Parts: sequence; C-alpha cells; structure tokens
Amino acid sequence: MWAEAAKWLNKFPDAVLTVTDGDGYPFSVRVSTSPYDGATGELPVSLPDAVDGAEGPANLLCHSHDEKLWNLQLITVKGIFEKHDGAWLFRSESFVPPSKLAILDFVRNARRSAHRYLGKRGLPRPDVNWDSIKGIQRRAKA
Amino acid sequence: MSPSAALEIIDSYFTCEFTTLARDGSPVTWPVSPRLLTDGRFLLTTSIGLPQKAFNIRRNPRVSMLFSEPTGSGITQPGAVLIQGDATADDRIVTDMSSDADLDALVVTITGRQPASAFWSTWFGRRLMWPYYIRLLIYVTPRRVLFWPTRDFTSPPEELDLSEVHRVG
Repeated sequence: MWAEAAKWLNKFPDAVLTVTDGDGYPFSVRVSTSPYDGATGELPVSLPDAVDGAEGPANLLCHSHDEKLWNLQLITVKGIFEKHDGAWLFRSESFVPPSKLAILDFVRNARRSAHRYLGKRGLPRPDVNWDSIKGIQRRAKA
Repeated sequence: MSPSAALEIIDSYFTCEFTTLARDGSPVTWPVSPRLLTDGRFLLTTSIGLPQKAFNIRRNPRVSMLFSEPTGSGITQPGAVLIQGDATADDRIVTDMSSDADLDALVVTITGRQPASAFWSTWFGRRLMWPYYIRLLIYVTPRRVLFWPTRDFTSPPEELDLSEVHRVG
C-alpha cells in the first residue's frame, strides 16, 4: 500500500520529520529515507535527546530546489510518531503523490482560496503596487 | 563560534521548513523564505491564496523553522538550525512590498535568489496568479534555538542564547 510513498521518498536522500514536543511546539529534524518500508509504511528513526514527549501526529516532508531557487519539488507523508519496543517509529497514514499537473492545481487552488479570503471579509480584490515590485526587481539585480 | 555559524546558516539558506499546527494538532510543514530581523524576530509572508499557515497561527501560535537545506547557500560544510517560537499573523493584507523596510529587504533577497519569480509580475503572470503579491505578514518570536554544526541529527544539538540570534546591521 505504501509502495508509491516509498518510491517518492527514495528520490530524496533524507526527509524532514516533524513531530510535536512535550511543550506543544513543532520539532523538526532530518532523517534518512532509506529505512522506509514500502510494505508497512513505517520508518524507524533515531532522535536526539533534545526531543521529549514526541508521540502523536507527525509528517515527513521532502523538498528540493536548485541553485536559482527553482525546479521546486515537494512531497509530504502524514502519519503518527510513536515508540515501539523503546525505539521511535514514524507510521504512515496518508500520502498523495504529486500530480503531473501540480502547478496548475496549485494555481487553481490559490486563486480559489484568495477569492474566499477576500469574499469572507467583504473586500474587493486589492491593487498591487507594481511599481514597487519593479523597483525591487531592479535592486535585486544590482 | 556557534552563534555566528548559526547566523550564517539562517542568512544563507534559501528556505527553511516552517511548521504550524492544524486544528487537530497535526503539524503542517512547508518550505518558506524568512528574514531574521534586528530585534530577533523572523518575518515571512504568505499569499492570501495560501492562507492556511495564517489560520493555524491565529488558532495556535506555536511554530518551528528548521534551516537544513543548503543548496545554493555557498556553505560548504552545512549545519542546521531549529527555531521554535510563537508567531503572529494579522489579518492586514499587504500589496506594497516596499511599504515596510523589513518586508522590502525580504522581497529583494527572495527576488535575487529566485530570478524566475519575475514571471509573476509579467502580463500573463499577473492574470494567472493574481494573489501572488497579495500577502499576509507572519512574525515569529523565537523561544528556543538549537544548532547542529553538521547535519547529523542523531547528535545532540547545541542550545543557543536567544540574545545572540538577531540580525546585526
């Protein structure tokens, strides 16, 4: 069932594992993706002692960009973080593989969310200060 | 040495993995580009087309930022920094990226690092992704800073003094 997640995770050398610590704050570390089991959806993890009380909802994020902060890739696996026989384990609960039309989905969803955000507040679509953007672009190139 | 190495990471890495907490308590993590400010807070923004981060923060301000992706930073022996803190995300919509000096500096940095983002201000880009430059501001006040000199996350991190983590100049 988790073979598709394993296929995507293995495209990345490591993943960002995020759990919630004993104080209720998110806590992230990088973990190797190679031990991920495509049959069970489980990933054994070694955590530093600085994390305590981390059992509960968790996620794995793999992302990458190039030297120009472009060619962005991103996948997420949602799951549960728990202790089994004294060892930490991430157990997958959901994974949606990225669509080939991910950028179109991204744009469509963003436009829809923006309409909703403005609509709920009774606001018209505001004008962007494009002169300001052009000025920023000139200074960024300088 | 550690604070300056940590500051170099925070300043040089293009992104950090930013986590907010959803209504059910599950973490939601997304790469973002923040800026460390002179008062020790971080500034980042999100489009009103991607408002979930702001909604989560208004319900639960606890967040984290892991700086762990060195691509493009020029740092040859990369380490990692984890910031845990409390965030605010006001409902004020910002459409002038130069209306605030810190925001202006953040957008200049991102624009320089991501030349292809100029597409969003072209005739077609403005129509396709019109919410891109309609933004909400998120400020994070750190409460704990952990530093790994290498990216060996099984090793114990060093906890840094909050007073040492702020932009100088």
